[in-house]
Amino acid sequence: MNDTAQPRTADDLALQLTEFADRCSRLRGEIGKVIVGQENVVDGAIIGLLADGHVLLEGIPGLGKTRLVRTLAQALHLRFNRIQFTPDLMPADIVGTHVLREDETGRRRLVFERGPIFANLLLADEINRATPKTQSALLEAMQETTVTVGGETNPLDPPFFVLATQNPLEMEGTYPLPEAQLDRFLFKLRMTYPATGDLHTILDRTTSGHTPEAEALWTAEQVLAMRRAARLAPVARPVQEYAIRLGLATRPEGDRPAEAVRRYIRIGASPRGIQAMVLGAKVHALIRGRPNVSREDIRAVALPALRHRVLLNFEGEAERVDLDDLLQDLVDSVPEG
Amino acid sequence: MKPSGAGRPIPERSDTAEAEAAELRARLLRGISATDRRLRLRRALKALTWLAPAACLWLLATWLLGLGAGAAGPVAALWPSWAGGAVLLLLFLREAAALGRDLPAAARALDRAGDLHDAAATALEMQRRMGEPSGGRQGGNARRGAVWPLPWIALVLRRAVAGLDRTGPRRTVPRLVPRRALLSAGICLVLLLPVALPRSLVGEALAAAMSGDPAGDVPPGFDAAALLEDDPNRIPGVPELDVRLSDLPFVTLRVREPDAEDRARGREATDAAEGSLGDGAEAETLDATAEGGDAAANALTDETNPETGADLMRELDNRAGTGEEEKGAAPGTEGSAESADPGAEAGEGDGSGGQPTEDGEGSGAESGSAAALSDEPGSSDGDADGAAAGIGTGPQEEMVDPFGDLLVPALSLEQALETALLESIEEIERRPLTTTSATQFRAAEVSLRGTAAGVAVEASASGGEAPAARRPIAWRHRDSVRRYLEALQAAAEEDGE
Repeated sequence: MNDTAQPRTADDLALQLTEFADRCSRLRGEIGKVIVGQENVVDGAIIGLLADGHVLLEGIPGLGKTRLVRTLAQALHLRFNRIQFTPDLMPADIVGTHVLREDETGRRRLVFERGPIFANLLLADEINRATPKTQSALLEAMQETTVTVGGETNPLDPPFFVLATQNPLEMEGTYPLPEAQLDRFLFKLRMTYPATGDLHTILDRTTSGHTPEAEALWTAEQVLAMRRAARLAPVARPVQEYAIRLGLATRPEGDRPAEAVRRYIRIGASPRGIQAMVLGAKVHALIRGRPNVSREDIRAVALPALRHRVLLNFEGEAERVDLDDLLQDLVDSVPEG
Repeated sequence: MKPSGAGRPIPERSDTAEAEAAELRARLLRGISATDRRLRLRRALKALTWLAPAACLWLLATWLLGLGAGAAGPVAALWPSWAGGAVLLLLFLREAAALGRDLPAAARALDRAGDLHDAAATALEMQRRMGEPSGGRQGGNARRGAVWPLPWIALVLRRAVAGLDRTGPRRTVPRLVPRRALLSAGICLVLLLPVALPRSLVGEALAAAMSGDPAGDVPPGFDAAALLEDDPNRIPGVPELDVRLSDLPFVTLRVREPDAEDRARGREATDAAEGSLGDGAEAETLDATAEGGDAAANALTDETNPETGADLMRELDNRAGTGEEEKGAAPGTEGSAESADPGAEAGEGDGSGGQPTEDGEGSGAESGSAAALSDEPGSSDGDADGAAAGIGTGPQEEMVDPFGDLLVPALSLEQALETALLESIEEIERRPLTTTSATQFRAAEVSLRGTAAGVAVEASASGGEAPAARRPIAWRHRDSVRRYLEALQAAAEEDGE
């Protein structure tokens, strides 16, 4: 896809869309050289990148979360930084701080030293091991793509994409992310144990002399162009209504909520959650070579877009309700219209 | 999330793209419209699968109601038919309204059938927006949705049309006739069959069903409505007989007001009795009065309707009079025996005193009995009239039901319990009663109170034999039956003492 050219005809657009899908396919293949299995997670990460969102990866240690992000960074020709979140990490360690610096004339003055957040692709590793105060340092950057320090606002270079990993909340030494912080993530992807067959491949690749590396495919400009294209994908009103119905179905105070929703859910999906579904569905459609969004695309991204925005109440937590199962039931039961 | 790419200039439309889009729109509309027509046709046929049987059912019900109304009721009896017809019409209109044009539904059906991933639905919305003044691009009305660049519109239209050509209306709606159509047609045939049969055949079965009797068991000339019309209990203050109680061909008596002629004859009878006494006859005054009235009644009934009147009186005499011959206070065989002697003249004169009713039964009996008990007050106008006609003396209020004392022994307590299929009076709350037994007891009770002599005749004429059981009756009639049985029980106890 040409970085700047706008399609003038349907044929041009069809070519561009084909190229879009091919690029995504190649990127998946490149990541697949390093990351075995986890296709849904890889797809989710790509969709999050192209939908101009941020992605939260959740999984127990050792599943390859960090490696996935590093591989993605390698394949994207983007400036990559990594922050290992720890309990003693301070906000200034992320966004940067003013330091006293002496110039050639010997005069000393305060200079803003950029933190690791100034990157195109940021890996916030084990983000829930930091305190909420430090976690919140990412809020402005993720939403506004700016960083304000000492009254000075510094824009971040586009594209800015945060890939955060977190351990399941039950593990020791974790701080749950605040709702506001969670809502900033377009998707929350869950990494699961690889299948037995995949484990063989993982062992073969990682315990031998040769460690595969991903080849850089996309530039920052290409990413931005693909983002623009994705936003233009048309969504028909009936499809949009379906996404809205799906979002509203998660609200316990809604009109005739499902029994499980009324019983176990404390907070339903926000409008930002429905936005996330539609945006993700657009990229999902384009990745599959379709110019328009369908209800299938909405369904495909519903769980990643909603699972961190829908919060269980005390009863749901006490009964250990699986939120994914509950949401999947909703997706299956909401009429397509 | 920041909006990237927002505010960038959108390429202008080219004439070629416009023409291509217009052609694609036309093809898209044609395809979706064809699918919509086929969908509506299928929907209409599907609605017919239940509307047609409903209409046939309504037709059959109307026809049956018409038969019933023609036989026994006014046209107003057809109101359920009109109401049903109105409901049916409303349902039909609702289905017809649902058959309106629905292109989005057709597009959705195409998407599903052709696995088009909502391309048809999106294209349909695009072509609709292109028809608007803003052309779907300018965003004049933000509420109408996002702004779509022309290349995207053209591409979506093209893909949708390609998918539509590949799928087509026939593949989208492969089967027009619903699966239930055969079943529905069968039901319609079954429902219409009675209408198609000869009217007389169905009419007989219907008449039998409405009467509650098997076909052929209805007595010739039986007319329940006529019985109701002539119900003597339709007097203010007198409980009205239930329709089910009237559902028997029992005898109905109608007592009319005595006229001058009746009074004259009654006076003659009294004079004759007194005269025979004055001539030195040995008969006692009271007996002579009774004999004279009774003989007069016998003479009248024999003359007027010898079969029914004579039979009835004979039966009454046999039951009520034979046991009291020695007392000589009640009419019966003694009275009729003596009427040949001193009361013969009176009999001639009194014969016209009792007036026969329409069916000729019982009027003689009324006058005769009234003559025997002329010194007791009557309890109702009808009875008093009858008594007055018999003897022509005393005020009407003093007349009594002549059958009152005849009916009590008509059924013994044991017979009554047997008729009601009861082993004891208390069992009346647990066992089902039948129309017949209830009718009988009800009539007897009414007669005891002297309010319905006509009805009582049936009870007495039946000789206490329980007719065949019919339908269960309403619980409210059990009170009447209970009262009657208790009266019988009290009478039996008195007799025992």
